[in-house]
Amino acid sequence: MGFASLKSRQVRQEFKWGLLFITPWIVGFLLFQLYPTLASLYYSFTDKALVRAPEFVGFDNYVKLLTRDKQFIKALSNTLYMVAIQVPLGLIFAFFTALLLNMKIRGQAVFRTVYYLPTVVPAVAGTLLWLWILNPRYGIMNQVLQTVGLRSPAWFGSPVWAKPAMIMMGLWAVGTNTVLYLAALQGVPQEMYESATLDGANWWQRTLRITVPMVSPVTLFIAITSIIGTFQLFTQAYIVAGSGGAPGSPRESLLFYAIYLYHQGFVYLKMGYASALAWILFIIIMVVTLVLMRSSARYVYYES
Amino acid sequence: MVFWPEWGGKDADALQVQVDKWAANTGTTVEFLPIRDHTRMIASMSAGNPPDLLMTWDANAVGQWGFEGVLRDIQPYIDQAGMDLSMYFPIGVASGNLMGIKQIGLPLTNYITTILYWNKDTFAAAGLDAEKAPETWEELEELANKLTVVENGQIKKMGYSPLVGQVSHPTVYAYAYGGSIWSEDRRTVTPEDPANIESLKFCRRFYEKYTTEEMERWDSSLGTEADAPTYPIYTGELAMEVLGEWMPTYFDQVKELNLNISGAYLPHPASKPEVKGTMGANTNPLVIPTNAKNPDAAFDFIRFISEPENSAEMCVIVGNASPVVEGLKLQIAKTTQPLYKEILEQIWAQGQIKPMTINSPIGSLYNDTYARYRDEVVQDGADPEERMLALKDEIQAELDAALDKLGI
Repeated sequence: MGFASLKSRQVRQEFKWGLLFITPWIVGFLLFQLYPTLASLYYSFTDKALVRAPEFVGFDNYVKLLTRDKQFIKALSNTLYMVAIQVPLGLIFAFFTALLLNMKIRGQAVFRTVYYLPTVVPAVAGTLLWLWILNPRYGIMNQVLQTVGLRSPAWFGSPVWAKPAMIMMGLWAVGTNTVLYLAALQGVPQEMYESATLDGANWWQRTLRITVPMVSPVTLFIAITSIIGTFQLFTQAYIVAGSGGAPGSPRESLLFYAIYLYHQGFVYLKMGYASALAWILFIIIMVVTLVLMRSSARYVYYES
Repeated sequence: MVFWPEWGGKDADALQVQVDKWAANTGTTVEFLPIRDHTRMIASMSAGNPPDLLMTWDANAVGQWGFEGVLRDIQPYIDQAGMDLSMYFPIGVASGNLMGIKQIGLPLTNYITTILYWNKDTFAAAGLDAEKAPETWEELEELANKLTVVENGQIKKMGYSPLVGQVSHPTVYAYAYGGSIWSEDRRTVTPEDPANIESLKFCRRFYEKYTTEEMERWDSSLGTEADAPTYPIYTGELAMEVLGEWMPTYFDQVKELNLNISGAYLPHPASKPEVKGTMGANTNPLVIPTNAKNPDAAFDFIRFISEPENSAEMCVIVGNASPVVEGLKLQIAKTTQPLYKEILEQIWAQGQIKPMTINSPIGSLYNDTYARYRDEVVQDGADPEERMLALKDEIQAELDAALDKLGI
């Protein structure tokens, strides 16, 4: 027996073992990810409810969504509003919080813990807490506003103020992104700041010219994950609307894409229509992500 | 026998007592799993592997599931057991019926018979007769305005807030104004019924008078938990509120407040005295999925829990009305809370109770869309006739398409 056949036997053996070890994942992937994904694509072209055989309707669901469904437009525009405002604000907020927490001061660990804590509060509990903070008559926010002679708006009770309130709640829980920025800040070489300082750069110039470009890969990562997360915003709006009101109450101001999709699928049992909604969301997220990735060479700096 | 009820806390515990009793009597092993949302029920039925018995508080969902064919027709079981359905109050049976096509459920409890509660202390403080509730909507509006306190443009107290309380279901005002949101045969939606339009105009007048901005601020600041002392009818922030019959069962949990609250039928329009005492009620239906593996056992439990003693024993703890005529009598005898006792006696003896939820393939969609259009009218001042006609067009098309698809 030559060396070549021995080697190929070994390779085959290793391949078999490799397959054996990876089989649970492959089976899980095929059954619980690939199959449901492909099935939902098929259902999006059908009139599918619960157990009745799906009836093929071609592009009807997509045509109805894009041409006749006013609530779809409302849900999409509400969601885009959150993506356009909450994501950039969240990035800025997380970045400056990380800068502050990166300062070498006493009690640094305590501050870091305090700013991270809201992230570990479950979304439902956090939302209920904010409903109290923003109570227009009894909430802490109202008391703060009163001290400067202002009256609290209705916040979650008003179609004008509900989304800003939601954004405020989102900024409160930027701890994870702050930690990512903190880690990135540790990787910025101190010599850069030292030489910039020798050249006469002030704090703002150093932040803008050194820190921002050096942490830009993390900014891209946070931007993409935040955009995906915001497109899927659900729990907070679901809790705020409570039971009894129309979905996305008050007055559809919190009718986000995922809320609309959930109602179509699991409340009205229009699974085919909900599948079409899911695929449109997938395409939107994919296009936005691709645009960000493709254009990132212009504003993301990789040291290597 | 696998049983998933959509209940929690003391309600689920009270139900489990009955389940355990039945299990011991029949020697059946029961897997009793209270769950919090029915998405899981949908998934199990859709996958063809459901429990044997289901109970949800969402009567709309049951109708939709029934039309989707995932629930059994239980009429053969009823016949086999020789059950006489007149043992139930009619609304419980009607709520489990699919447009006369088949019987898919029987009631575990009846609930949300809507009552007008009033805080007597607020009436007395305003120099009004604390013992007399308004009998007509016109009287209620007049009293509400007298009881409302506005200082520097800010609401400090309200006599009545038309969208606060258990009023979200479209039938609450519709029935109390002598109208309906469905035709008799349930095949036509009638949100444009003049009685509904009148009720929307009534609600709108509050938002016009006190401004939508101020009302939004006021409504969203009110407490929502009946077991907390911040509940608006307890604090007197609202002098009158429409809530379910269950409300007095919470009084024990806020004893320290020494509440001075009474309840009465919802008002009726002055021009329609015959509407007095008309109200809707919901049911918690027990249903058997099509693919249930032990349907006989599941139905036997339905029969067991419909025995007056068992039903009464559970309903006293849960705080819903027994759907069984003799069960309610026993429940009333066992009830110690005086207001709750009085309400149960009055409404089920003399009230004109109609089903709050009609089994329909589009029940949830109708409710949600109604709420959306109602808010446009009441809060934004849209034209009620025009909006309700638009709603009718939208929902009727959905209903026709659904019935057509189902071949009904």
